[in-house]
Amino acid sequence: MLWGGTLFIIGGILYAITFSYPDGQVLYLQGLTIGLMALSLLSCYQAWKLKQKTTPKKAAGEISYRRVLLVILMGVLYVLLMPYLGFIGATLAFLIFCMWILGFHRIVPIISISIGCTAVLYVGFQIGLGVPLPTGLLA
Amino acid sequence: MKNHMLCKYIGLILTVVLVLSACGTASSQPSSVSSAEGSSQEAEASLDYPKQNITFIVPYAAGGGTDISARILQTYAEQELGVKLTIVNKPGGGGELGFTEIAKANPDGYTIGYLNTPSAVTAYLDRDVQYDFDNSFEYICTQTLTPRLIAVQKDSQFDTIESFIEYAKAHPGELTVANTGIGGFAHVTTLALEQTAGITLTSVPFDGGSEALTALMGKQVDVAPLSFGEAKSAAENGEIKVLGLYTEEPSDTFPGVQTFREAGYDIVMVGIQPIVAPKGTPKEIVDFLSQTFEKVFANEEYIAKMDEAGNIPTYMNGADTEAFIKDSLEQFRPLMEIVKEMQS
Amino acid sequence: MVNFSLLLEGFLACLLPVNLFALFVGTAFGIVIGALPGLTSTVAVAVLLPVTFSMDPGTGLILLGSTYGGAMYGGSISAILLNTPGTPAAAATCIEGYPMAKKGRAGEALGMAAVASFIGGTLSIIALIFVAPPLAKVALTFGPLEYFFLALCGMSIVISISTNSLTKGFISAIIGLLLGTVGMDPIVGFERYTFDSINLMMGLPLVPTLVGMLSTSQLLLLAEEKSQTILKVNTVSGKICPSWADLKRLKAVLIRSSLIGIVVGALPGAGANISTFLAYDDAKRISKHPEQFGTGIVDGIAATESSNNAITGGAMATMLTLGIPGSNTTAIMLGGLMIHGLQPGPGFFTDASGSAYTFMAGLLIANFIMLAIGLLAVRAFMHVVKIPNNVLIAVVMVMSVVGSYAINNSMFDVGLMLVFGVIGYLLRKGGFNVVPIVLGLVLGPIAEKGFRRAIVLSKGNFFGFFMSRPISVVLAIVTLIFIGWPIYKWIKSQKNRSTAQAQ
Repeated sequence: MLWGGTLFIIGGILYAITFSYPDGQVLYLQGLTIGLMALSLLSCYQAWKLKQKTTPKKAAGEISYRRVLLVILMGVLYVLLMPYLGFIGATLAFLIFCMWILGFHRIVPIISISIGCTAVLYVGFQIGLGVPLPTGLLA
Repeated sequence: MKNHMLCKYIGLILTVVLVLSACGTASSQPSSVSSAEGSSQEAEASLDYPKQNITFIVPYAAGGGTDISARILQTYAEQELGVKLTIVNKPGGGGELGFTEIAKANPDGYTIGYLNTPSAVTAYLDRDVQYDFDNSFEYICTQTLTPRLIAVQKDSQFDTIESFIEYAKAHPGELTVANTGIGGFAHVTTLALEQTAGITLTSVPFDGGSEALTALMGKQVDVAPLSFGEAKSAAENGEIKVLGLYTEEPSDTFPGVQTFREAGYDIVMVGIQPIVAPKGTPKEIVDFLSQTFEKVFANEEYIAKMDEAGNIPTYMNGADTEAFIKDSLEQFRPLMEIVKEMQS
Repeated sequence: MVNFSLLLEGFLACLLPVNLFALFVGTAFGIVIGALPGLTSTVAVAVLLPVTFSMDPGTGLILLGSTYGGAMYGGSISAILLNTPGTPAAAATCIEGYPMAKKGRAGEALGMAAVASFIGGTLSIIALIFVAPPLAKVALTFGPLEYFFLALCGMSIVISISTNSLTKGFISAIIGLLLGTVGMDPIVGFERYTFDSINLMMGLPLVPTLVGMLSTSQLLLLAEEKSQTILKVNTVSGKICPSWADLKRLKAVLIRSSLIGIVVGALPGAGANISTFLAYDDAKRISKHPEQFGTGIVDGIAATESSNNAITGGAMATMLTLGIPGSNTTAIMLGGLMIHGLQPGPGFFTDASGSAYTFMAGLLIANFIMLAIGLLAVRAFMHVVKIPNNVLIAVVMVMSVVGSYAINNSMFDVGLMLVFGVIGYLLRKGGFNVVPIVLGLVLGPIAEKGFRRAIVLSKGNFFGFFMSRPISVVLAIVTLIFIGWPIYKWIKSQKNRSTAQAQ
């Protein structure tokens, strides 16, 4: 239901944007955005009816949103820091921290996988394929 | 059980790394100069350049016409320069992304790239870009020309420019032309033709030269403006008929085809692929590169490969290049006004 | 007509050590690059292009061609193991492949992928050798209106794969279509939803968006679970190679999917996504147990993998006969051809040097090599599902970042990948299937451009224009069937359900 509502709003915004575009060319966009709004309302309705029929179950305690947020955070930091630490530094840091935070606490494999992975990617791309990877401020 | 498998996995990675590093270190040293000419050695001795690999920015995707001429250049220039020329593709905005990258790069002589016209010019005329032609670049030289032509279906009723224009005047809007990209080279070429000859064509936009070529070959449209490279093999195979050239003089690539000037319509549409460096790059380096490239462009093997790929290899020095680009600016200004009107 | 003596010479030429080496290296390299999420066959071929400059034309072409085929197979590896297509062409393989991996049957899936790729590739090369010119001529007659209907056909698959909720399926499709509109309007050129970013002016870059939407979101889903590995079952089936019985049963699927791949591959601009999804849908329709599709059966993989390797032959047919690239990868190969002094066109096949036939013979052999490498490597690959999630997430994330960066050397692309990763994750949590988004993103522009160009070409007389093009009419009817059939079946099942409830 939450989804339906959000999508409806997004559809509305996109529809509104089309007004700033030249006339006559926006038919397709408007069709799509209106369709989105209509269907998201329908989806809301369906979800509401479904809720009425069955009593809501609490999600099993297996799902950990904390881990998901951590991964997202790490990913963002990785990307943000790459121009500063360079590919090698940022990748090593990311791999080590990510594996540790996710619960993999065996040091030797962490270090060797991190180094191995970074090395393989670096050699493969920078040297083998000639694709320049960010070098960071320390280079 | 899991330990065992992980150990195997780690062992595998380490072995691969060791092997690849061995290959890697071997190939990452700049290859030593063995074939450099005497004069470039002299220049190098006093210049101390190049000391490391040079980055070459291609503002288009890998595999396209521009990219291919870059890779041909790379093969032969590396021999002369003694260091690697690393090609970096930076497609986006019809080339604008790449042009901006070059303009903003460090002017130490280790970053150069293409500033294709008319894309660089039309982008500048069409919208706010982060470069201009006086303050952003040092002009090294021009590698190749990209002239345009106009082609019709292989069994089209038109054999000469004149017959085509007569028909178009008598039936405005009936003939369909495959254009590519608003503000793109093909599009402004068609605009120029319509303006100068006083005709109206129905424009069908496609996504690129090869789509336009396909549409023409498949008889979906009547006419298509193409580059020499795009039209070359199709014309040789008889799949299309080249009607007229937008060059100053007739060309060997398409013998027997009129130029628009010969037919009485003064339209010249020739783009160039110039190599530039960011403003502030030391003059000695710019001159050195210009001279080195001149040598490369004279290499027969290089010329042969460029010909095969449909290019017109040439050499224009930095000053001429700059003049040409500024002329293009004036040439395309009125045409881009029309384009901007269409877009609003 | 094909020149058999040149063909024989071609085969013999392939046995030269340098050519065999090129075949082997090309295939292996293609498989590896294909398997890495983010790197596509286009990148693989682009990188090898300069290497071929110093080679004999025949050898250079063999290298590029075998890389293309290898990459088409390689994409299925990560599609099956990680629910991440290694190349966009493998997107449809995820649907059946990943559930199989979860159930411990990754080996079977990979094995079938290898065999299906082999069959598709071989059939398409045979088509290339014998019927390239007529095939290319047919491809030329496809104009904008035909492409529109073709794309529509592809989109209609949304209906059949939206088994849980049709509404949500349509919403996903619309989201995909909207994403496809980002960039310049095809007719007039004003910018749509680009928020003034040069990076978006040409539209959302396919690879980072795809990688983010499919792969990164998958990683986030994995991160949720406290369970340790992708593998949900205790035993891993040791069976790899599909049995003769399986192959005989799937004979129709394999052949039909390959045909679809060959024809669609020959069409310039229409590509892997249309053909693989069409093949998948087709297999589902002719199957005796369509309800099993989606739970993890080899039938789906047979369809998608044979179709995506069959594309190579079709695309190369158009490229070699007409000089028009059928896909991004063939565009680069075309450049390579021309640099080696080989002119595409009818002259290509009659060229006395026989490079053409060496090339085609080489492609055939490359398929065998691909099959061999594939089946052997499966033994190693299938254990990937046993790697702990924590390691997998970290490593695949890094590979995705590098892959997204490598194509355009752009951190913006990487950022885009992350953004779509989060969006994809949230959508999946909401019960939305990501596949229709991919379909919308890829097919939307094709459909829109085709339709709008057709309107211009028809000059006001749309219906007349439409009726004058037999292919369009046929495709329109086919699309109606594709859309109508599942709806008809759904209505029937609703009626059955209500009569069952009433009793």
